[in-house]
Amino acid sequence: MARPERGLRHVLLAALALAVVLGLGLRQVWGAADPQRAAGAMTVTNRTSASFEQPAAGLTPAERERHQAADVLFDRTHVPLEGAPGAGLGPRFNAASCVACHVRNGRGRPLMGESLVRVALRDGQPVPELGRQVRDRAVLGARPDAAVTVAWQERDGLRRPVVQLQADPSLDLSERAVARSLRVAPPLLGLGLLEAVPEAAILEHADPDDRDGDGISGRPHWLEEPGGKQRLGRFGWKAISPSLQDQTAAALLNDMGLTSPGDIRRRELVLVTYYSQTLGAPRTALPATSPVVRRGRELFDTLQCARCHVPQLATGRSPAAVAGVINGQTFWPYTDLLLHDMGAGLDDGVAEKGAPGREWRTAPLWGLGLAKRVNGSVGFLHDGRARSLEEAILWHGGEATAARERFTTLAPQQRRWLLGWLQQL
Amino acid sequence: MTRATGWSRTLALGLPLSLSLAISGCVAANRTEAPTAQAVVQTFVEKVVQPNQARLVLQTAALQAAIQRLSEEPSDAHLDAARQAWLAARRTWETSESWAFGPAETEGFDGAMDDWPVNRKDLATALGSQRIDSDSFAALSETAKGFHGIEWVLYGGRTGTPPTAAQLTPGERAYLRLAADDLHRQAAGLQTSWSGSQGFGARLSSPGEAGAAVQEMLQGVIGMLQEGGDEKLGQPLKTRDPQTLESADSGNTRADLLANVEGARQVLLATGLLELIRSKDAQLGQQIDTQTARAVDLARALPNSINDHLDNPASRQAMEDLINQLHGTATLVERSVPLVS
Repeated sequence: MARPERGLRHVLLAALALAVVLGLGLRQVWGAADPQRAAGAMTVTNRTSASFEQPAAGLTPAERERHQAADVLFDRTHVPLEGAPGAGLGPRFNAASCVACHVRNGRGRPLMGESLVRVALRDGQPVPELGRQVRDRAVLGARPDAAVTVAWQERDGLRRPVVQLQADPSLDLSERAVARSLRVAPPLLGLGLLEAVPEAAILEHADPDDRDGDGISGRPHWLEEPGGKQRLGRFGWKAISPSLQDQTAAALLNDMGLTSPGDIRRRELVLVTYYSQTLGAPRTALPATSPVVRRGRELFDTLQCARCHVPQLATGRSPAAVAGVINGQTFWPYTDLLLHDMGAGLDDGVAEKGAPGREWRTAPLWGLGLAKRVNGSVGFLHDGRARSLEEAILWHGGEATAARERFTTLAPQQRRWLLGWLQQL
Repeated sequence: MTRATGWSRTLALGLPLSLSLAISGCVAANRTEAPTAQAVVQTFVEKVVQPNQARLVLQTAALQAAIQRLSEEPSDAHLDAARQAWLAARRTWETSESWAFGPAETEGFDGAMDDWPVNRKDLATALGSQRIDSDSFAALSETAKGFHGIEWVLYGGRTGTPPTAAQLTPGERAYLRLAADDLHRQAAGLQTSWSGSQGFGARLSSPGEAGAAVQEMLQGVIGMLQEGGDEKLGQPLKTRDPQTLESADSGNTRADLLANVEGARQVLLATGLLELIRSKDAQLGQQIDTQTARAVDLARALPNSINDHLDNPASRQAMEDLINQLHGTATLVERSVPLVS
């Protein structure tokens, strides 16, 4: 009896030792948290087309109930209301509901009805009678700002949108006078976590004057509030909103023509915001031990993609957190939330709140592999021009030029590893 | 006899138990002869979804024809026939809520056919003009078209009283024609999007995708159960506002909900999916069967026209019972997802 028992113990001890070694090794590579749990304790295991619509894991029953109530509001289709002109939806708008553009909480397609066009005069000023956004729809009896058509110009296997605006002939909306930037809705993932990253942690990655000389800067987008206070921009393609409530209010006002408190009560604004704050992000398809993950992630670092698409962030601890689980999370969004010069190819000439046409906030990469499953098609980058991850990488310029060039020199197998890793996020 | 140590005792007790469980599991699996995930998905596409879509195309064509007759000869008999045609198509559409994923959502067919609440303001303005044509119809938002736009006119949403045929204005009759044409076009578009070798149905049931496809099927059921509880019943119960009820003008909310849960039962029973779940966890499969059947019973027990009963305590209790049932059933179905993935 004694011998087999001792043998068994040896086997178990050896297995334990191996697990410890592997565990320590992975801990060194990935840090303490498991990158498969992309949103930490808020990670959603569902990887169906409904993945992005799932409430974050880790909510208390009361928080989950509040999330469900907020979901109803987020899904609500708005209509014009009896009473004063402009009551309810509109009179001019881009979409009648949040989900019209954030289709299943994923990316909008570069089609009118799921996306919008930001504009500016060539000198950066707002366009007279139109402002900075084209509301291409209107309730009955009102006129849209302009009719928008999107055509595609293809060169060297890459396409870019050509946005045509048609409006009252008295308005000069010609290409010469007005710059235009097509914007698709970004996916709604882990936003509450991104909001809860301490400002200092974001600034650690900033290097606006490129003091380390690596060609990559990373500029915080400081937004001046009335009264002179400065807040760090985090949300939107150019980080033009410092908080999710600001972002939500701007979308309700500019995209749907809803005003508060006239059309939407403050309580409802807070609740719609809560919905976005308590969404999770999907677990990656493969574990950290998978060869695809190890090799792909290694290449991601070697190519220096991770300099801007910072893999791991952590939230602080705040008694004001809207859900307890948001506090103290390590998570894996692959963004630094900073602005970067992305080069002339992505410069559409429309500056926003001081962020010039060439500068874009590093887009988070979590959930990338589910883009097609959620939305039926893929369209990456701010205007959905990239029909594949490869195209999205090839559009990188400016500070990311060297990373893009390194990508183009990868051997086919290496390229498959990198793209395979991205596809399982 | 030496006393067994912790390890050997665990092995001594655990191994036979594991073996017996494994063997009984095999026996159970063999006895039920569960279909494969691939077969479940194939059946779902070919025997549930596509026949439903074909029926919807036929029924929206029948609605078109009924509205055309009503328009040419505005009699109460023709108005009643148009309402019956609307109800028939409506039932088929609502049955499909559990598979309103894929193109229904990403290509906008769901919104084009079934967006609500009704844009009453624009619709009243458009119909008041008496000059509605294809251009002015095209300018209307989705919330002024589809099932609910047609319903609003057929059932007197403007006045709150169902009109007689003689009370329908020429503008309303013209609108009905255009809206029925559009509804039929959308139904045909949805059918096309799932058909053929490149269609969504073929992609869903392609080899190698079965696990993910079965998850989509279950997620479709879960989403419908949650929407039924939170939006379709939860909001009206909370606000007591009849306008927050879907199909409020026709008073068809009960029939909508009944069709919703019957559709969920079809996904589970008509495809072999429930058998597949049972083969992994017989008790859970049984619970899902029982609880979805109970949801059907509770939907059937709702008052016929909920609109008029939002303040009635017994009706409110019936709504609350169904909400709880839908939520509870969704939780059960959620538990089955990892089993069949």
